[in-house]
Amino acid sequence: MRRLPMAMGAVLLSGLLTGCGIAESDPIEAGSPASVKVTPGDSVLLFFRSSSGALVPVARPLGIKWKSSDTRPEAVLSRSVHLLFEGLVAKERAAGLRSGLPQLPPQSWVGAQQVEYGIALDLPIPLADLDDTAVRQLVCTAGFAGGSQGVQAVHLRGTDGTMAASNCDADVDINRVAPRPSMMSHPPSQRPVPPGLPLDGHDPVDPRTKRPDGLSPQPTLPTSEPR
Amino acid sequence: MRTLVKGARKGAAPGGTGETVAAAERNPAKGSPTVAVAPRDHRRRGTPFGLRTRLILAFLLVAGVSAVGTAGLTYREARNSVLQAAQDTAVSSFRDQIQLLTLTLPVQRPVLEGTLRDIAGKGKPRPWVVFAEYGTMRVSSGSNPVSSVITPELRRKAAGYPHGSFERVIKDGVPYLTVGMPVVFEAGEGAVLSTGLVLYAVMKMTYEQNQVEALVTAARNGALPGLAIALIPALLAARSVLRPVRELRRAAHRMGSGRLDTRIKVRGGDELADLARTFNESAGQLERSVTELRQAEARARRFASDVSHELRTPLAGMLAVTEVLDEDAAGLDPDTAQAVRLISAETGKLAVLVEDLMEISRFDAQAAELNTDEVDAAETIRRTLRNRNWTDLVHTDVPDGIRARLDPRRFDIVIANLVGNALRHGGPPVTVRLRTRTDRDGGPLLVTEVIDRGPGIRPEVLPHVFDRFYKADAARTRSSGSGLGLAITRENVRLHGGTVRAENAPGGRGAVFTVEIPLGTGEVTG
Repeated sequence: MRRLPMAMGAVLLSGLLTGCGIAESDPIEAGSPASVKVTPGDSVLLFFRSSSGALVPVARPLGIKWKSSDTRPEAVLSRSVHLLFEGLVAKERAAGLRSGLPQLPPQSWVGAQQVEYGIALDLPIPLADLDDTAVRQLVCTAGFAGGSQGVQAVHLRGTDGTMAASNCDADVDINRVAPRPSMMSHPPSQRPVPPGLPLDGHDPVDPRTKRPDGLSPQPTLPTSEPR
Repeated sequence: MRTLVKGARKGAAPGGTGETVAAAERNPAKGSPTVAVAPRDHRRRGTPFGLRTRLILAFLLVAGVSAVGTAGLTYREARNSVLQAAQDTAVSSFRDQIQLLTLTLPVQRPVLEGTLRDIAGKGKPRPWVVFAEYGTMRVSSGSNPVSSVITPELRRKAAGYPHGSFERVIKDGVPYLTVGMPVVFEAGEGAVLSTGLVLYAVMKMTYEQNQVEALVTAARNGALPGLAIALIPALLAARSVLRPVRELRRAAHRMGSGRLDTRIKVRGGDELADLARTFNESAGQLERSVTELRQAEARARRFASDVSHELRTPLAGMLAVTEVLDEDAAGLDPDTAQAVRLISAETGKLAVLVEDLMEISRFDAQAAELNTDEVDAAETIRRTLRNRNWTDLVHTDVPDGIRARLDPRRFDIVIANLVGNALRHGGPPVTVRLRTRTDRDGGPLLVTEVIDRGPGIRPEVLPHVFDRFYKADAARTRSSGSGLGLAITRENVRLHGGTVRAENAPGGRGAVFTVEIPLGTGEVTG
């Protein structure tokens, strides 16, 4: 009889004590992120990685060197990929960004093509040299350079084989490293046509001899900031 | 023995039944003080909380629970809305401030520092400190580039998934609101890309804390008067319950002190009224049974008294005749003479028995009167022994000069009965000792002891020696006494307001009868 009121009092008291004042909370989600404008507008996006391993986009203006050139999608695509392989400029390095891509062999060239089912990249290096982040860097840079907001499938072909097509999903979760696309068949002697490339009989362009955009290979690549 | 009790014979009231009943009714009243004390003691020991306390506590508990509950719930809602308003404002205004920005990618430190200073000046609802994290770059609008308040959980949340988020943190007793806001941009139509930049705002919630504390004060100020007001109905309810209970207690108390005609007024139809009704019925039944018992007892006493009276007249005649026969017995033949002497002796005993019975009847009828006089106690005892020719048989240790208010006749009976009993059943020498002492209340007592050197009284007999017709030895049915001597002694001592007790001497031999009578109190009357 006397224990019940005491228990009730204890419950009330504890409720009051814990309920008083401002309590700590867990992190609580609150609406959308902040969306900003990025200048300049006519730039290409290159993807590098931050110290935490996340993919970080940087905007490079379509450089002065390229100003006279055409702005056809294929040309933009090709330039973006080359800029990516050229690596970071000083201010990007200052922000703590890194690139996971290896140096290309001298006098070699990446073939980048807009094809019917997406984008095809022909690399003069073995795909095994690329780590997961590097693959994503390539896929996202190519995807966004190819227009259509990066949703296009990107086919990677290296000297050691072909990788399954993949999309840049950076807009979904920039921190999540997507699983590396699986390798397809790859005897280097008889390189197969990458899936998605048109199989209409004509030979694929040899990336080492001929640039897909029709320009001749350039011996010196821009290493400094175009502006 | 006969001569001893002769003086007590006059003034016998054969009737007196009405007086008997009245006296019997008065009798329990003497015990009323103990009756009155006992239940109060019990109550104090049994329940530490009285009915009133418990009722009031119950009321206060109910009032407290509801007041505190209401106040608590209201407070919680109000506090939550205060916090929510602050949080929502902070998050949305922080987002709005950031969304006004135009960034170059990668983000450059000088640009970022300027931006943060800009945003820091526009804190809403309260000023805030803004922190930025981009790659390895850590910039803030304050003195420290990295905040110690922002938790790793919030960082993970803000960086991992493109959503704004906030967290309340208490550091050193100060509540902070931390907001994490990842910065994204539109890359082409519809595609949103993270810039990799995350901005944090850290805002003190001191103002909100003050508001919440004001709420607590308001809730307490609302609840306490409620409790005080609840006291009034509590007291009223306690009174309405306690009044009948108090009446009941008083009535039970009155019944206990002998007023069996006590009844309670039955009010209303609740459980307490039922209790009162039951009490009245029980009281009625009790009164009837007690009356019947008293009447039966009175009838029995009157019968004994009447019988003794009726026997006295023929016995007086018989005594006169047997005395004559006794004198002439010498002239008869031996057998007839022996028979005549036997008849004479037995008739004498019968007369003593009848006298004793009448004396006892008078005590039972409360008709015995005490005629006190201030006498010398030693002289009274010596006279008693002298009258019985016991002076040579009894040692006396009776100092002169002890004056006491006694009824000399009744005191004589007391001493004679005790000494006679000692001479008959105890062993010589028999000693009478007189002294005074002080009782517990400080009153002087006259102590008379009658000591014998006989075998003593068996322990199982001791409590019964003053009972009527109690024979210490069951085989000795015929004794020279009436069997009423010690009973009459006790009644006489009681009449003096004293006590008599029997015990065995410490030495193991002999019995000691002790009479203690207040020295100065001669006022005790039947």
